Formats: sequence, structure tokens, C-alpha cells
Amino acid sequence: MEKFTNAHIHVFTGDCAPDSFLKVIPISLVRKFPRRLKWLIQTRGVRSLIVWFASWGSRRDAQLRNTVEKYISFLEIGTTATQLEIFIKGFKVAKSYSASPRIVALPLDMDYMDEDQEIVMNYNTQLKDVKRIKKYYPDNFFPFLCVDPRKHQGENMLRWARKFFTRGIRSKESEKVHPFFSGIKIYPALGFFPFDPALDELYAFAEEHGLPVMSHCTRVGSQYVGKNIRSLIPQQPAMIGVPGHPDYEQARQEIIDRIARYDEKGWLKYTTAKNNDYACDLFGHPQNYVPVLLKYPRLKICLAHMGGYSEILKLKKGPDEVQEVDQKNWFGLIKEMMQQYPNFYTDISYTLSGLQAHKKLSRADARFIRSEINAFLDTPVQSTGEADEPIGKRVLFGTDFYMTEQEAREPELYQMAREHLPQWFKRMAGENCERYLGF
Amino acid sequence: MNILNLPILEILISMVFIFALLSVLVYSLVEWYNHKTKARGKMLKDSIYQMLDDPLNANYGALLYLHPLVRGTVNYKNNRPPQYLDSTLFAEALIDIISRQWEDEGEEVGIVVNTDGSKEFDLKPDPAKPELHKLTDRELFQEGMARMSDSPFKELLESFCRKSKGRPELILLIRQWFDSQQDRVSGWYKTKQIPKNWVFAVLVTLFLNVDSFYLYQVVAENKGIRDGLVSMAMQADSTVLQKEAQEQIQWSLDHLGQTNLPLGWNKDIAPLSWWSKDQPTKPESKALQYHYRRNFKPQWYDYALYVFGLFFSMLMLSFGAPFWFDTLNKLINIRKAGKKPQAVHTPTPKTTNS
Repeated sequence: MEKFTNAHIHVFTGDCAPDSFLKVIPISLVRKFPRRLKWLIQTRGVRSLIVWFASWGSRRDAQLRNTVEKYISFLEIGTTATQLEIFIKGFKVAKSYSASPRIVALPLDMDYMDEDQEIVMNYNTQLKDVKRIKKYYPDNFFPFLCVDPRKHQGENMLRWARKFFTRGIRSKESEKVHPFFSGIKIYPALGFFPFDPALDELYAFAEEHGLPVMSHCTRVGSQYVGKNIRSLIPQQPAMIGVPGHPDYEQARQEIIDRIARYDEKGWLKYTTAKNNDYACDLFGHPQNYVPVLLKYPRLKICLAHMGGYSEILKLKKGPDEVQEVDQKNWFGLIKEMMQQYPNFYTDISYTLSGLQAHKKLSRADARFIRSEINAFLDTPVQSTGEADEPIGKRVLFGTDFYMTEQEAREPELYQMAREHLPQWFKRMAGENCERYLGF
Repeated sequence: MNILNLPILEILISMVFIFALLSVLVYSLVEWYNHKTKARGKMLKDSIYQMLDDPLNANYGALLYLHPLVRGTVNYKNNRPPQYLDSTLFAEALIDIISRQWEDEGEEVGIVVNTDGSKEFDLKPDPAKPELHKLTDRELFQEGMARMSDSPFKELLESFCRKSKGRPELILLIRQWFDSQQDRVSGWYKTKQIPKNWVFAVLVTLFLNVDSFYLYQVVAENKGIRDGLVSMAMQADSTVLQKEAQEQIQWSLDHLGQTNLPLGWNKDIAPLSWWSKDQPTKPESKALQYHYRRNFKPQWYDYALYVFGLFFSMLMLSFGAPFWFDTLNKLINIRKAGKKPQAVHTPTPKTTNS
């Protein structure tokens, strides 16, 4: 039986997010009244109206429209289905490619997304439900454990997390033993740095036990929407790493300088209008992983989405103000890091939707994205000692279901990958994922 | 002269019946709105989430709604949560969720990481762990509770467990707890209906142009209309409130259609008649002159009376249909004057011979 894995889907529901979740949409009215809007969106008719108005109102700003529709889509599925039902939707599509596909589901701990808001289904409850799905689909459902250093730190975090990886069940069908959780998910944009020393013990445990780490890596997406952003970003944040190592020192200095530049721009100040849009980029920046990769060279870290296809388009259209202040293109930086660190991965989820023109993406742009991704996959490794191997061997197949519903339906994403990346599709979903997950 | 045959009673019955008819419209619209917004189901869900919220462990309310016993009652087509939950079903589902925490803990897994990065897993059964089939339901519940962090909710469950000797008693205690909570929720739900009643009372009043003072004038002057209303009122049955919203609206509109009351919007009735170009000539009859003035040559006090009439109608309709049917029933009983109240069976007190 051919091994097939979708390494990136989400099953969490709207109940797992705070009521102020909609603040991530860059529209001032939405940011002022996120709870009322969420209440409205939960009505089917109102949802359709909002999609129509959003498309009309943001017709000249594809990125804005994209963001609005993405979150409407999220709420559409997220408010009408359970985690199990969402998983089954994604699983059914993957079944067309393999009799027993593996689906990596990435829960999200949104308990600290906004300190002022309560969450209906807090993270502990979300995890209990996720474990239930694992019990029903032990050979197909492979959840990662999302961690947040504001909830648990150091040894406490390890004590809390360990049981999720060291307890499990035996599948009645395959008779294989599976731990409940197969990896670690981090989502720094929710308000912490991946080099936070509170994560040190967990990284060490993950390296020792071959647990892969998956992290979100695009400039847009869910983010911390609370008012205490300034206190989360000190001028010189504490950092794990290898002091004295030239790469570590360089990365550290560049990270500190970047924080200072963002501060000068006034991007670290909370306002209802800006709502941490730029500040949260500092958390998920690819360079933040350099200290971790240096300290834990055997730890498999995957920065999802290749940095996002909007970063790829900046190579064509030129850098915008954010990139000028940042001084890095995330897509380019991920490529450089993959050449340098042998256990550094990325996945093609979400960015897949840029392989083909759609209502928000011109044909010329899609063609450019396709050529850039193909070139990325074929880029030879330079300094990791993997002779004659392109970095595509460390690119995973994923779809980011169900966040991509407005760009393309799940079966279309599979089809796009197969059509536009014919040499890589099976490899990404097969041996690359196997190696990453340690199967 | 029999006081019970005075027109004032008929006028009262007529007016109360009019308010009852219109209140049925308000009532059915509120029910329709509640149905559309899933208000009853959402309130029940919120109350259960609140009851079972345990931040130190999990929100067991959310888990309860995912449990097959409860999930099965959700309308999958429109994702409508159940409007009512049987207390036994609640107790069974909650006991199952708590008990399963023991089973859901899984077994210890041994992990071997090979040199090529691949992993092998094996179960390491705990010999001290009792076998599932050897535990009673109550013991399983206790094992499930033992997996919880200390919290107020855990203490509550422990107290239930202490007071019960077996599963039936445990179920009974949880049922009693649920029922007492739901009594309070019913109170909250009724309170939440008040603003909705107001909104729909305003809408019905404006939509049907209900000026209570003018209606009173018409009913007081017109014996034919009054007799018709009293006759309908005598046959009115409050069981209409238990019917579907569509039937309630139909019932109300059918009756209103038979009353010949000056309701709705047309150029012969205020306020549209105030701007009508086709004004009739002033009637000779003194009885009709009030209607002529009010509808075609209003003075300032006619405007004021009209506005107050609308406000009064809104206020009356906001009382709700059950109130008006109750009042109507009492008035009809007075009018019948001989009708015995419904027999209430009370036990005959025992006489003791001391």
C-alpha cells in the first residue's frame, strides 16, 4: 500500500477561538465590534450577505478580500461542524489517493489569543475531543500537541506534555501502537517567540524522542489580538541557543535590531485599527528558529506554508514597506535555511492555492508562483552534506484544510499539486512526510 | 337590572379579546424569531456549558454536546441544538464522560528511535491498573474523577458519589441537580423574552395600525361589532397557544377578519386619511361626527390621542397572549355568572373523634 500523508490540516472549531477572534480581519469596523459580528456570522443568511458585501467592498484589494473570505469560510465550517466531522471531511478527500491515508491535524491553543476574552471550548477540552478522534481513527489521524510557553514553562511544560506522547492505544485494525500525539505544534504569532527559554526542555525531549515540530510561518493568519502586545516583545528577549556560535550571535543581533526597527515605526503599539498586524510578524519570523536549530540540530522543525505565496509574489513585484523594515523575504530566507540545516523542513500547505489562477490571483502571478516553487524544490543543498539532493526532499505535502476553502476546495488542492508539481507530489506526500514524522 | 349584562362588561370582553387576538400574533412572531435564532436551544446549551464549566479540567458542557447521546438530538440539517434535554439523558451522558477519562488515558507507550530517525512503539501495560470489566459503574466513575485536577466541579461530583451507593442513585442526584438548574434557566428564558415581546408588540401595533382608544370608541358605539366579538370570545380557546406558529397566525388573522374593526392602513382611517384628497362630506349624525373629525378633520388632541392609542396598544400587547387569555377567561366566567369553576379534587379532611 502506498504511503500517503497530508501533513497539515486543522480540525478545531469556532468554539475553540475567543469571541474577539475576528479582530484578525483588517477592517476597522470588524475590529471594533468583533463579538457582535461573530454573533451575526453564526446566522447562515447573514454569512452569505457578508461574503457578498466583503467581495464588493474589497474588490480593489485582493489581499483584504482574501483575508475576509478566509475567516468567513473558517466560521462557516467552524461553527457548523464538530472536530470529528471536520476531520472526516478532510479524510474522505485523502482517501481518493490512498486506502489508508495519514492526516496530520494541528490543534491550536487560543486560550491566550486575547486575555480579555473567555473561550467556550478551552484548549484542554479541545485536546480531549482530539484524543477521541485518535481513538476512532488510530491509523489515520495524527494530531500534534500545540504548546504555548505562557501556559506551561520548562519542566512543568514537559511534565504536562509528556503524557500526550508517551501514552497511546493499539489500533484494532492494524494492531499497531500509536501514541495519542505525534508531534509538537507551535503558533508563535499568538504571542510568543519560538526561542523562548520556557520551551527549552520540551525541545530537548522532542529531539531525543524524534518528535517533529510544526510551526505556522506566514505574515498573515491568526495572531495575538490582545492589548498587551508591548509587554510580549521586550527589546532584548531571552533566547535559547548556543552563545558564542557566530550564526547564533548574528541571528540574535538581527532579531534585536528588527524589534528596534519595528518599534521605531510604531508597529509595537496596540491600536484598534492596527491590532498587532505587523508586531506579530516578529514572533513567527523564520530567523527566530536559528537559535533552536543550532542548539537542537537533530530536531525536525517544519516552517509551514513556505512563508506564504504573498512573499513569493514580492520577488516579482518588489518588496513592500513591511519587507523593507524587516529586511528579509520569508520565502527566500526559508530556502537559505533549508540549505543550511539538514533537519529543517517546510510544507506547501496554503501556498498550494497559489499554483493556479483564481478569482484573487491572476494567471501571470500564478505562473510566477509555480515557477518559483518548482525552482525552490529543485534547489540543490549546499552545506548540509546531502550531496545531489534537492531541498524538495524536505518539503511536505499539506493543504491547510479548512482554511483554504475560499481559495480552492480540498479536492482541487490535491489536483493542483498533482498537476503542477508532478515530479514532487507523491514524494512530498510519501517519503518526505514519512521521514519527517519518523514512520 | 342585572349588573352582569351591562355593556361595560361586553366592552371589556371585546377589548380583551382584541388584545388576545393581537397578542397571539405577537406571541407567534416571538416564537418564530426564537425558532429562527435557535434561542431556546442556545440558552439551554449556554446554561449547560456554564453548569459544567471546569477551567481547571475541561468544559464538560462542550464534551456533553459532543457525546453521542446528546449529539444525536441535534438537527444535522441546520445544526439546531436540542431545545430540551431529558435529565436522565443528561445524567447518563455526564457519567459516561467522566468515567471515560480513565479509559481515555490510554496505556504507557515505549518509544524506540532508530538511527535513521524512524520510531517504533510498543505498549507497556500497567499491571496495577484494574481491568475495565472488573469495575462497577460507580468505581469507573470514581476512577474517571481521579484523573481530574482538584476543582470545585470535581468536589461537586465527589459529593454526588459519596451520597450514592450505586449508579441509580448517582443518576438521581445528577438529575435533581440538573432539574433545579433548569428551573432557574426557565426563569432567565422568560426574562429574555420581555424585550422581544416589546419589539414585536411595536411591530404588530404599527403594522396593523392599532389605536386602542379608537377601537374602544368603535366597540362601545357599535353593538353589532361588540356582539360579534363577545360571541367569538366565548368560543375562544387558549389551546391555540400550543399550536404551531403558522396556525396561530392563521387563527388570529381569521378572527380579526371577521370583526370589521378599523385596523390596517387605508385612506379612510387615520393617519392615511389625514392626507387623503377624497374627503367625504361631514355627516349629519352626531354619532358619526366623532369618526369624521378623528379621521378627516383632526384637532391637535386627535393627533395626541392617536399617538397615545398606539403606545397603549404596544403596552397591552407586550403583556403577552397567556395574560390576555387568562383575563378573558375570568371575564367570561363573570359574564356567565353561573358557571362553576373547574372542579379541583381536594382530599376530604379526615374528621377525628376525640
